[in-house]
Amino acid sequence: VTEDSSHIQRNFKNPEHAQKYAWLWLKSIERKISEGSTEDFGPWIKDLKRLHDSPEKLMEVGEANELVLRHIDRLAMSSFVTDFAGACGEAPQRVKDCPPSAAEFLFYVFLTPANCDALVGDLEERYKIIRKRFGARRANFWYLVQVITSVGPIVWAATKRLLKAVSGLAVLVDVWRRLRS
Amino acid sequence: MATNDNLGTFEQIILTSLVILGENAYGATVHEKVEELAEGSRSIGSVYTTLDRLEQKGYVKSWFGDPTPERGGRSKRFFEITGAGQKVLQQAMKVADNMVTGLREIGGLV
Repeated sequence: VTEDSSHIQRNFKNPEHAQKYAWLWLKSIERKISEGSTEDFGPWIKDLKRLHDSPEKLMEVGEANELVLRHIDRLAMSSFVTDFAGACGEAPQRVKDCPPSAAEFLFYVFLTPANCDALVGDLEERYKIIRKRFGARRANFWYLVQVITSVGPIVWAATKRLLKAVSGLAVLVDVWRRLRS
Repeated sequence: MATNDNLGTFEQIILTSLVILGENAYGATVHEKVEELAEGSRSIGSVYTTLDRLEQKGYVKSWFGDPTPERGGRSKRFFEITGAGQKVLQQAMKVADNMVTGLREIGGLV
């Protein structure tokens, strides 16, 4: 039993809950597809079906399932998680080897969603490598340092864009005033 | 597009990283290569903002790849140096080379 599988057992103490979780997500994805969603759900549907068909077996396996769970956790709306928790009496917890998430929202404030997604994905990719090589403590420290030192340049770039827009507007107002006078 | 723009040191490092990485140049690999070339830690935020600036100048182009499970379903943003970027980097390399040659001639520093 690996650390990863213990995470899954901690998330879903009861295999029926894992099964229900997968079933609810399959239904949710089917609904999204019927509503015309263009997102490619193919790999996730396959994994969710596996999880749904044999939850006990899957709970013994490690990393592959963790990625599926992490993805569906990321997609999960808080209301869905609350409903699930109410129905089953337990809620899926945060995956153990995820980087600290509290800082991520800072990027979403100042960057476009696509750009932010790519940046957070890059951080997560390198975080996993560092965690594997040097352990969780060092990886967490690296991640936090990256977030803190990244905020400055990103905020500054956003401020410069804003100032440019404001100064452009000021020029337009000035031109308009001159034309009127 | 600026034609006689002087590149900053960090911009030169990033453009050099893109040339070295080729088709495998996306955020994480560029960040890693920049730290390797600069011999020190750099924030990924500064790498991204510099890449955005270089894209605005027309020296870099970028596009988003497909989401992958390894990154928790997030997409990669790939980068590529443009012809104008190569030209301006070559110019910067030439200036650096001239400086090295000049210092060698007087036997100083290098």
